[in-house]
Amino acid sequence: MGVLRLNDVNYSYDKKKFVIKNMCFDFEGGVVYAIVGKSGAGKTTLLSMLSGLTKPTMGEILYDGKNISGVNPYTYRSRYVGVIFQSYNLLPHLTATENVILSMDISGKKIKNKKERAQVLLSSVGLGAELWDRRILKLSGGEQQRVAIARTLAFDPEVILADEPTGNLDGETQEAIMEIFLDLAKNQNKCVIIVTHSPDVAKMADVKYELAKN
Amino acid sequence: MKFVCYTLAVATKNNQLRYMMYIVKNALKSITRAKGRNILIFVLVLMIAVSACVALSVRNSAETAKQTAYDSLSITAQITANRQGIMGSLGSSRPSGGSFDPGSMMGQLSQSLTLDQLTYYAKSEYVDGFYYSSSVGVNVPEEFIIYENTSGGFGGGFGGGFGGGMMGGGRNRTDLTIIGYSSHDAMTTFISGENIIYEGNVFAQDSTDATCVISYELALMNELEVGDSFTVINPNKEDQVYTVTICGTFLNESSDSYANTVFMSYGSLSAIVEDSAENADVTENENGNTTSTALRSSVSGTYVFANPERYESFVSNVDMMGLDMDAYAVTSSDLMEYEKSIVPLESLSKFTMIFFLVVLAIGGGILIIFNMFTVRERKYEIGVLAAIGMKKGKVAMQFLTEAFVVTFIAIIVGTGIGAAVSEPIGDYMLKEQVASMETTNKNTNQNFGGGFQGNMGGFRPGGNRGGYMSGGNNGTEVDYVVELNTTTDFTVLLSLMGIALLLTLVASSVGMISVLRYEPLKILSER
Repeated sequence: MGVLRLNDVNYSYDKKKFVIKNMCFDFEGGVVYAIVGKSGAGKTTLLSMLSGLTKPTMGEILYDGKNISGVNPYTYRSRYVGVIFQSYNLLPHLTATENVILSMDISGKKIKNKKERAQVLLSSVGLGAELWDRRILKLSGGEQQRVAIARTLAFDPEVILADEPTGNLDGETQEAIMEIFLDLAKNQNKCVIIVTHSPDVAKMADVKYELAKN
Repeated sequence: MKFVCYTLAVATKNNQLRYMMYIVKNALKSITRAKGRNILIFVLVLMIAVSACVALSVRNSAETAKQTAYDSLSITAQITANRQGIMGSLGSSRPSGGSFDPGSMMGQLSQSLTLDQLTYYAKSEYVDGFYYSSSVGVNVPEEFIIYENTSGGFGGGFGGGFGGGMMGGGRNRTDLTIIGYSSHDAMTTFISGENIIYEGNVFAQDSTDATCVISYELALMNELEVGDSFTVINPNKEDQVYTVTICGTFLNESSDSYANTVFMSYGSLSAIVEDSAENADVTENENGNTTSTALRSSVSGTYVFANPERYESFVSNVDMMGLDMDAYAVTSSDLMEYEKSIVPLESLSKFTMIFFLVVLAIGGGILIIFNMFTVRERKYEIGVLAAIGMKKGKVAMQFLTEAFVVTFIAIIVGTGIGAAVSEPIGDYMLKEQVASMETTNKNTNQNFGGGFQGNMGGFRPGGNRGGYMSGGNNGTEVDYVVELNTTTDFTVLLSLMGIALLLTLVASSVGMISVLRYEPLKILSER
């Protein structure tokens, strides 16, 4: 049984037309999944449900065998599932390092030397030391995306959900980011689920799911 | 099992502490990073704090000054004819269409207790001191020049011929008034400084040798000096002459009311009155009323009380001791004067309270609106924090912490500034109040041709913490409290802290409700 499982999940915005219908997936650790599909196919909705930001209209999502509707969604997102947003969603008044530390603070996990760990993570996603203490607004899109990834990794979640993580990045950076995800899956047994439009990203993933528009 | 429970409790406690730490840390970071917004809140709260501190300090000091004046109030009271009661009973007993007897009315209104009766009531357990005085109107030989005073007052003295019977002798205006005091304590015009010994000394309070103090004007006009004697004549019996010796002269710089007044001890005056009675001619008219040529003295007693409560107790006690409350009343001008003297303080206290409430209402309103805008402005931050797993309650807690930190710093600085400026502001405001009352009183007095004797009081320059009147003779001079010892004490500090807490909670609660209402996905998708 996978880390995350979807059992007959349905989702409808108006309870008439279902965007997602009878979906069953099993996501396992150590694998990078790419979810592709046309606009309106429900990719982002699926990611929202997996992250606990949206509840399915019907069906259940199991994390480690437990229905996530029974778990506090904030605790779920702060401890077990890391979300990388398409628009990064970093706090602009904080520096790159502070954004990463904040994530560790919110998780409530006992993490020692948070600043050093944040800097190691920023370094591991390819952000140069000269950028660590810069405020977010003074970083480029690619640099912000790296900070967002480092922030997600900071509290060591088992599942990483990424919504178009390479959408605003050039080909070289896109590849570098994907290498990070693959490394996380292979070496740290993380379950990485990426929603993407990019065929190149999908090609690099271990498993590709394509959502059809209902 | 116990160990597991203990470990869990410690872990939970540590976890909560860790949460609190990062909330405080984030709040402080947010304050320093969003300077513009926080400076605006700081300035706003600072203005509220300074205004509130000044208002509370001034009000507190005004109340303290009132209480201090009240506590330090030494009350004196007299037992006098109950004019209201007498007039009331005369009115109700008047037969329908019947005639009114003015002689009876005057007799009742001018009745007074004897010295023995006054002394009896002085034995009340609530009386802390008692003194008395008597006054007699006398004439002087033709060659003796009396002062033609302009202000009325005691000049010219009393009628000397209230004969033994009812209104027997009619009223003759006399040249001088002699007042005899039982003790120096009774000489209130000297104690207050209204009259001051200019030459020589005051008589001994237990003297019976007819030594006296006369006004400097009388001494000057008659070329009299300390040690000289002069004679006074019984106005009802011109061959009855008494010699008095001058032991001192007094000066009154502000009024000539006492120019024709002679002060001596009660014993000295009593000896003259007794001699006059012994050698009086007594006649009886056809109605059976007797008329005596004896000098008629009028005695008044003054009871001293340590505080207003003892005075109030005395008022109840004399009734139990048998005083006819329909005919007599216990009155104290000190309490009335105290009430007059604190009018500016009461106005100031009311004004500052209203000002304080207005500042709180307007300041609180602005803070609430400002907080609403702030939360709207920080909607994205709320969305991000909630999306990465920060509970809404903790987001609200962080916002509240920020508000508290900024508010408390502003309150502390504001209290410092308020404490520094409250004293001059308080003094200025009180002086304005007093000046305003003085102007009103002057205008009223002018409207009455200078003879207003109502209850508005008049300002007497030089009064400071006066508290109560020291004996103006027309009932219009009052010592207003014109100085405030304005301090920002612990009570004010506590009140300000309470206000800060309340303002922050009220202002932030609107923001917190908004935070709890927002859904992270909605916020982020709206962006």
